[in-house]
Amino acid sequence: MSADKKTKTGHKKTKAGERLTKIMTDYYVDLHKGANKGKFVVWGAIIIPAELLKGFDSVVFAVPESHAATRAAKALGPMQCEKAEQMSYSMDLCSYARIDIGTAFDGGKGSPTFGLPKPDLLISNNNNCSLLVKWFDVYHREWGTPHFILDVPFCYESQKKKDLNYIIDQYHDLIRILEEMTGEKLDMEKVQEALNYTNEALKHWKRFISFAANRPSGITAFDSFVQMAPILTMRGTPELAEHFKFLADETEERVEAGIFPIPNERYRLLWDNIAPWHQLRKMSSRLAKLGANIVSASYTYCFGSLEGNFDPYHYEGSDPLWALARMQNTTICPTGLGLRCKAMSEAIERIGIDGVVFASNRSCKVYSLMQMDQQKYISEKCGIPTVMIDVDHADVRKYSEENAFLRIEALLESIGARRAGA
Amino acid sequence: MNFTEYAQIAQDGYFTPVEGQIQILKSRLQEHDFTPFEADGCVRNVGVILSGILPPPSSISEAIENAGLRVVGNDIASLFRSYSYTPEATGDPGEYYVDFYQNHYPCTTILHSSDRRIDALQDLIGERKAQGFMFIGEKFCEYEYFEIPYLEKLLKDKGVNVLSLEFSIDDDQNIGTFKTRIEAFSELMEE
Repeated sequence: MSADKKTKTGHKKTKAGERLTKIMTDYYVDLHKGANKGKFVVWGAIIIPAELLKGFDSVVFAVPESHAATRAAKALGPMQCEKAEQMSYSMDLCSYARIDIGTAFDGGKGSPTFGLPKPDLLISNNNNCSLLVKWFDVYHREWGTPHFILDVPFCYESQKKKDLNYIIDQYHDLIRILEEMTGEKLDMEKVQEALNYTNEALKHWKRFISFAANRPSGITAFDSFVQMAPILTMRGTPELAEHFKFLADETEERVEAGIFPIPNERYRLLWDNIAPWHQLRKMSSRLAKLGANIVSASYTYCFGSLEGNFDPYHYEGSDPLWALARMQNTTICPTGLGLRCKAMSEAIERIGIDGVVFASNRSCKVYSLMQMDQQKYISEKCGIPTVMIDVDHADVRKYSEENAFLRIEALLESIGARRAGA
Repeated sequence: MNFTEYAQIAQDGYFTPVEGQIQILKSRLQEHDFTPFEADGCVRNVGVILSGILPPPSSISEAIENAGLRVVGNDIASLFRSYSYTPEATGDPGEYYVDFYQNHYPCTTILHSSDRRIDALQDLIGERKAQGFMFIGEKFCEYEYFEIPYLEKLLKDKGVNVLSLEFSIDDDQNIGTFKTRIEAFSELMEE
């Protein structure tokens, strides 16, 4: 953007925001309608190969994690968590899990989407959260629903061929199980088509999050958190590709027109961990008053990207099962510290980050355990200030706004002091 | 030997090379007089199974035993669940570990064994004639917590008393509340 262009604030809901509400509503309506018509309902973890399910006309796909995040963003987290706690599920368990268990065993009450239709098959994996396997096991035990666990080897370097083949072998098992349970033969051409849609969507997602590099940033991480919902629930669909194209185009137009979420942006921050769903508006508004913008988040660039990389994986039309196995090694959770640091350093440099907010989240062990080491590495390697705050992604009862902002304000002061000393 | 001592020896082993562990175990076996342990507190014979990931802090183990409870077995991931099955040494480490994981005692963290865990635990409780089941958990999002509500209901229905305690594993000081709960739990059970 040229320097003489006048900047304007853009807090009003965008057309892409309105469009998101519509496609997500349609998704939940279609999900329930499909289940009512007798379609085969799969509940899956966010990183399972959703495109594979598109090879079956009779299957509909529900995502408990995304459903829980939506509840948390609508301030319904504590109410649903308490239902699970009353059933003796510990308050220390993941708040997504507690929201989901609370909602599911209360027949979807309190959920604007009426919960999720009861599953015929549960598919979990241990590469975005190994605890999620136990969460799905709760339903397996209580309802007797079969549970397929996809085992993805943790990696400290680029994915090994034997690991990739190991995942592909499990896909063959999954296909066999789905064919047996649905009575339908997998259509691999439809899987390929679904992968093409996902690929197209990821291309536009990359365009969208790259507007964070603009000064001032064309987006806030809070915008990208909200827009993640369809990538978790609607992968492999033309609707997702269309929506992300619309989102990226609209953002581009706004940047060109000088419309920015935080026009007086003085501090450009990066967020590490799951979105603080209950604080989206509050945190972004309070940061805006301080001239700060969390422009990017590891949570939003982890999807579709491969180990140690900031950019999404590009599907080149190879064997769909191969590509889907390759995509299991996403950037954050199934990778070691070195790869996490590599991806974050790349993001910091490319986007031009002034400081990092590490959100330690006792509700998400997998994301949080390495953060102390990562913080040390990033501070030393990238030479920028960082801060650690305590957050629970979906349970506001375990978050203290004042404590968090005390630390964030200290981070901003530290960035300011560095600039003054430079 | 009481459970507190036993757990301490096991925990020392976590940080000791295998040769050192063997030495410690041999000397403890030589010293041991094999007379049944009797607690310092009230002398009762109420058997309980301890469960969790790590053994409880020693102050908690002592509180359990001083409340007149006898630890007749453990279902602790880093203790019984990990040593319950030991493969035969064949000289091939790969073979050893395949055998170890394939035949591992059902454990919450060994995902493929999930479906066998509840039965195995009930068998253990039955075999050891335990009247109570105590879960000692660290405050974090942990595998075990997803099973406890189910397990608690199942065991209570079968007449086994259940107590769940959650605390920070390093906190060996503030045990007053836990002590009261353990004593109350002990009083619930008749010898």
